[in-house]
Amino acid sequence: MSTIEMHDLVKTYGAERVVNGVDLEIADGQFVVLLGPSGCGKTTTLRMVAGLEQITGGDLRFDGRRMNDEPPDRRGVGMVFQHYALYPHMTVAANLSFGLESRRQRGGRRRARAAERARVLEIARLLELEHVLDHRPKELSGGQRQRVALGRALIRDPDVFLLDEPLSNLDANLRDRMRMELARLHEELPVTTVYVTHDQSEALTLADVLVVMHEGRVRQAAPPAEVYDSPADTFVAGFLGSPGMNLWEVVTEQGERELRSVRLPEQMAVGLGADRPGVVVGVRPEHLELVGEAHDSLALVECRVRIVENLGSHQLVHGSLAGGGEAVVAHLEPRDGPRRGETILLGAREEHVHLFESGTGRRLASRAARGRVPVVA
Amino acid sequence: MRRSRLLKDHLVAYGLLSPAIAVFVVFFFVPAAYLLYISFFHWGVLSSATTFVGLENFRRLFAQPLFWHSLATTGYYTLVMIPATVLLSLGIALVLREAVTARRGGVWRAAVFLPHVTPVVATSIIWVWIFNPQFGLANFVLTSLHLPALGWLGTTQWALPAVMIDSLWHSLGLYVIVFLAGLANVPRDLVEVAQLDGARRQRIFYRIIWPLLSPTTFFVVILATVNSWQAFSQIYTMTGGPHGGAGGPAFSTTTDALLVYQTAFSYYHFSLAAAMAFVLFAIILTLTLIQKWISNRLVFYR
Repeated sequence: MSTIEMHDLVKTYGAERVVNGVDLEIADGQFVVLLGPSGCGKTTTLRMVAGLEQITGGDLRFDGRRMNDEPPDRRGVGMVFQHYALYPHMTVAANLSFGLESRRQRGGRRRARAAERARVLEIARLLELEHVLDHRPKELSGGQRQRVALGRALIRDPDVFLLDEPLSNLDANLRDRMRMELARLHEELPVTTVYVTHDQSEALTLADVLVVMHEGRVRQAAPPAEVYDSPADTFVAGFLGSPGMNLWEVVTEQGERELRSVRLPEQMAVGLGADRPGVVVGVRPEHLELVGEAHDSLALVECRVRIVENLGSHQLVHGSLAGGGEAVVAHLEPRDGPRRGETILLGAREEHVHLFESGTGRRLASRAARGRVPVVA
Repeated sequence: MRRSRLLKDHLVAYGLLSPAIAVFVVFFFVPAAYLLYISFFHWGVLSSATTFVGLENFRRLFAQPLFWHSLATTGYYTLVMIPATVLLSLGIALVLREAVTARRGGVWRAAVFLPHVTPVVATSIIWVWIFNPQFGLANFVLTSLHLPALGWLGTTQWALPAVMIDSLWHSLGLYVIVFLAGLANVPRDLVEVAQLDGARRQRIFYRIIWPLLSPTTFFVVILATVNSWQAFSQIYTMTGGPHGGAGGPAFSTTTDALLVYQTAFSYYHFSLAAAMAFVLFAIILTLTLIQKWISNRLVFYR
């Protein structure tokens, strides 16, 4: 068991900065998911934690102990690779016990072979691999290979468990099952876990703390619900959710609530920046609904419908702002049924409207929160 | 209907194969069969008179001490060359692989491969100079290291090792490239996992890289065996072939390829040389089959 601290972690290859100052604190036993588009530095960060990648700058600490220059095998990490990386010439049992044997030879504390075999059996039982212990990886199914890779990482009781897109090679069905399996496993063995993925549903379901990365930086690190409900910036807002949050750049004047085709609720518009010429308004597609007439407590959007996708349980309506070209996506009940070319009025409740600073994209303090909690200026 | 379809498929297949088959038949099977045929005759070079003598040539061959001596010499040569080839080329490949990512990795690889594309006869003459007992580089190096100078090609003890050094220098490049290709096929993931598993470099090499490299090693061993058993040009050139006396001193470098050549073209005893060549063929085939049999137990194919 271990806590992990990353302080201003940097990785450069030549002139290219792949990881650009990552700050992160992971509590003991936490399940942390690094999420981001490809090339955002999440795998490189994981490999630095594992010790497979030299750290260019910053500090990495496990339980307060600096790990930057420790070799991988001295960090107490178990890792699962994207392509399993099972030893193809060894049986499942040999794959599992390889790490135990490596340590036995070095460490001097000569654990009896019998104890190792018992440990292999124990792990095999935990992962339902008892009947394939004599098989070579080639003879296993994708799910079994995945479980061997998990077992190999867990067999030495790692302090830190690292997973690099472990489910991306499985078919959709199996992926869902293995995802639940991983959740169960973490409950049984609450090891500090860092999990890298680009799959949102994995990230949202598994994470205690969800870390969204972009261009080598952490954009937000918080529980999944919080990341979803109050994204820290426009990138996180647009990346999370499928489809992501609607983001409309609008020009504001003080006290003005008519913002082209977007109209903010009365409460929200109050005091909206004279010092800030622009603001980005964000609303998730599922928080938009058809409204018959204007209402002061709702944010209102006038939208020209372009495409209506019927997905059975709901409709996905694609359109654009009536006053400008920006895209609008709304998740509507099938019975609402707007038609192509129609101009419709969509509304969202105040607590579902997000405001971001134009330019930096940073979240502005929530108006809804400001309404309830007095703001200390 | 189905029958004619099958026939057509076969015709197409053999039609496409025929150029390759033709090459094999004309340049390998016919000469090999002709060789075996010759070995049953007493075959004059200038006269057209040929006499069938049955196994007489083989009987005479096996009765000849020089033949057995040449087999022993070839065996010695091969037994040194195979492990030396595998160890050196694998070692160089491992060093070069580290250097592949380095800035001038390509230059090093080219440098190692270069000897292989030089003409054997020309470079062997250079090696004769290097092994010159009075002025050669080899003895200069030895004496600078305070080691005794050697007679090299002039002595029965050191003539064959001198040839081995030349052969190794000339052939290593090819095997290094083969090993580099093999190493490139060992996934980096596996090495990293082994590191995380706490395996040290040696253990990673013996338990992960070496087993995964076994098909490559097997290929190199087969190739080195065949090349050693057939070694000719460098031996002929280095031991004074053009001036006569190749295979010396005192037959210490007379391998059986050299003996076949001399029997045929120095002593003009073609049928005896044919018998010898056939025996040589049988030996190489047997060795290859044995290696194949062993490899089925040791080589891991993914």
